[in-house]
Amino acid sequence: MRILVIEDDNETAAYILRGLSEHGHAVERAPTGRDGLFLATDGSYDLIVLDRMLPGMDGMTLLKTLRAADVRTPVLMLTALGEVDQRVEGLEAGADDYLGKPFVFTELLARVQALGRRPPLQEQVALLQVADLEMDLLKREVRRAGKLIELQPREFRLLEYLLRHAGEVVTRTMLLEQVWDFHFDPQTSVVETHISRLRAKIDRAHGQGRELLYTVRGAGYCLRAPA
Amino acid sequence: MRLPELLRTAAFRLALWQGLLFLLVAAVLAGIVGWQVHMFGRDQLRAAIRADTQRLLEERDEPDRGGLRDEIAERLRAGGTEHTLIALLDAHGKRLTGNLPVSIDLLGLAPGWHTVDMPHGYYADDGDDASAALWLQRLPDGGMLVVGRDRTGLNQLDETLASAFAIASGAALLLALIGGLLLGRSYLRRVRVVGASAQRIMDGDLAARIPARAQGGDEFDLLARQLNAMLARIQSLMESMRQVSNDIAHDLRTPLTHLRQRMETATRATDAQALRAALAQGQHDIDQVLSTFSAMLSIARIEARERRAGFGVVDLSVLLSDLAADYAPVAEERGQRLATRIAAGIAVLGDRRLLQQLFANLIENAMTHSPVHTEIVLNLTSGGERHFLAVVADRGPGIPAAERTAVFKRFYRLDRSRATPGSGLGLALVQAIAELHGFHCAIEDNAPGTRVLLRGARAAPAGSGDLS
Repeated sequence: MRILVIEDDNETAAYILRGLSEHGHAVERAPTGRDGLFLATDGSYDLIVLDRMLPGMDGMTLLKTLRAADVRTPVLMLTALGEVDQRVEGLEAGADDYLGKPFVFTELLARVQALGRRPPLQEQVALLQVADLEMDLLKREVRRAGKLIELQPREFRLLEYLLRHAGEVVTRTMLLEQVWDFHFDPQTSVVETHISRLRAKIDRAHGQGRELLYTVRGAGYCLRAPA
Repeated sequence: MRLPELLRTAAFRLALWQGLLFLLVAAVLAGIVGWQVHMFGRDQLRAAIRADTQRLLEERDEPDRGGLRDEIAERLRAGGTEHTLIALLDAHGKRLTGNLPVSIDLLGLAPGWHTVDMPHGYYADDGDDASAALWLQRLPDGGMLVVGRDRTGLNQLDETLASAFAIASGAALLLALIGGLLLGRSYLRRVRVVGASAQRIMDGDLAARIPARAQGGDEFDLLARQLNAMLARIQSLMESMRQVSNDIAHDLRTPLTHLRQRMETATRATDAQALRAALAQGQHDIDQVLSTFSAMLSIARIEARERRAGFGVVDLSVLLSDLAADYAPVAEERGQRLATRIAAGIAVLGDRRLLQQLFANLIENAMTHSPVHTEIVLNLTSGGERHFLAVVADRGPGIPAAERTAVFKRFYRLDRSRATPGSGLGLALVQAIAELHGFHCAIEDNAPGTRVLLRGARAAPAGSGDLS
């Protein structure tokens, strides 16, 4: 992916650039808002990582200008110590995702990849599928190898999200935000508990030992067909 | 107090303006009265002149000029006519007799109150210059009789009135000035008192207050009381800020000290595995610091938020049921049980995400402080038609009665929980969110264990507003 990183802090920028390059992305960096806006409007990037606080022109203004100019490139916004209010503000201004600093790199990478693969228009799909695991969104049914699996509402939403991001690493925070709509850090293992319950139902009970839901150490979870 | 300072006081300027206004009113009044008095004097003078004329002409049945001349001469000789001016002219305008000074040119004057028509005689302010009012009467033989009187009396009357007005005005203005100075001095003195208190506070004595009568008093006392209330509020805010700063410093010192020790260990590490372990520990310490910061910022932001900004109707029953569904498996995993009794259809006005965080915090608190095989209770009931009551109760060790208010403070941690992880900010956050919503949060004894009660006002559920 061609990624534009608009970030004024050299150290953070180097950290992001190094990490993204290591994962095979072509990364360019703009140190100021004006440079960033110029590059973002001019070049054709697959994704923009945008710092909220920038000299010259702040990230929010830049984003609004960009969206007003009909530039639809997905934007991942970064901010100092993620704040719920700012998050909402950022999403309303046209950001596609929002990440608070300081962040773990795997978190950024997971979000970058999730955004990069997002189809331009959210297609209305009725059926989600990975290997022999199927989810019928209309009937709200889940089957593994043809056998119906009973899921709690939250488990269903969790699996739906994992299926929509099949093959990608999704982090605990992404799940908290997208599946639970929690915008704080729970002190107990809410995500882990639900993941293990879901795993028990789709993998252990009906999977005949063929695992689909993997734990990626230090990063998150991944639902994918066995290799 | 220096004079220029006094002259600048609002009280002095007010007094001065009032003095000037009074002067203007007095001038109008004096003008009207003066005019009336002047006209009265003039009429008196004319009446006297007419009477004189009448007497001169009445002496003779046949007023021929010779007889009249003799009569006039006789009168003038007899004296007692110092104030009367007389002149007799023949048909050609030649003076025949009289005491009217010859310098006064009578030629060309028609009969009547001609003197009245002489502007300088009547209206000019001549001061001590004697002026006269003259009556010219045509005689049957074509001659002219001129009778007049000294006008000085009238002039003096005018002057007396004018000087009386001037003196009165001067005195009034002087009194206004003195009154203004006195008033200004007393106001300035009271402002000084306020200023001195302000200076003391600026110099660091935050407990200083402006002296004021506790009850009643004038507008200065009222102002002082309000300023004192403001100062008390500021002082308490500053104290809590200082407290928080101390607490932050204290709370961050521990993980930062740990971090330093681990880095020291890491520099001495001989193999890669030990180095990696030390770094991982260091990361954990930093995460702890960051989460403390994050919680602090969240509380600060919530506290700074304008009440009801971005509030909407939140179905508390649904929110709690969802949370219960999310946390029941977690409790189960921990060997605990989450028992819920949630009344349906209870809505409040609030921020859904913050309320979610509030209850998640309470539930997680209860779970972390409860031993295994115990029950955590989550209840939502309506406390009457307008209120709700939410209860989160556990069977943990409980909170001593003396500390049940203190636990809502930032960084407050019970002695026994110092060793357990946590920032000591959870309940402070709960309190901040509750306060933002106008909810009341309290802790009771669950005998054994802790019961956290949250009370607040209900809102009409979204969409059903017009049904009621």
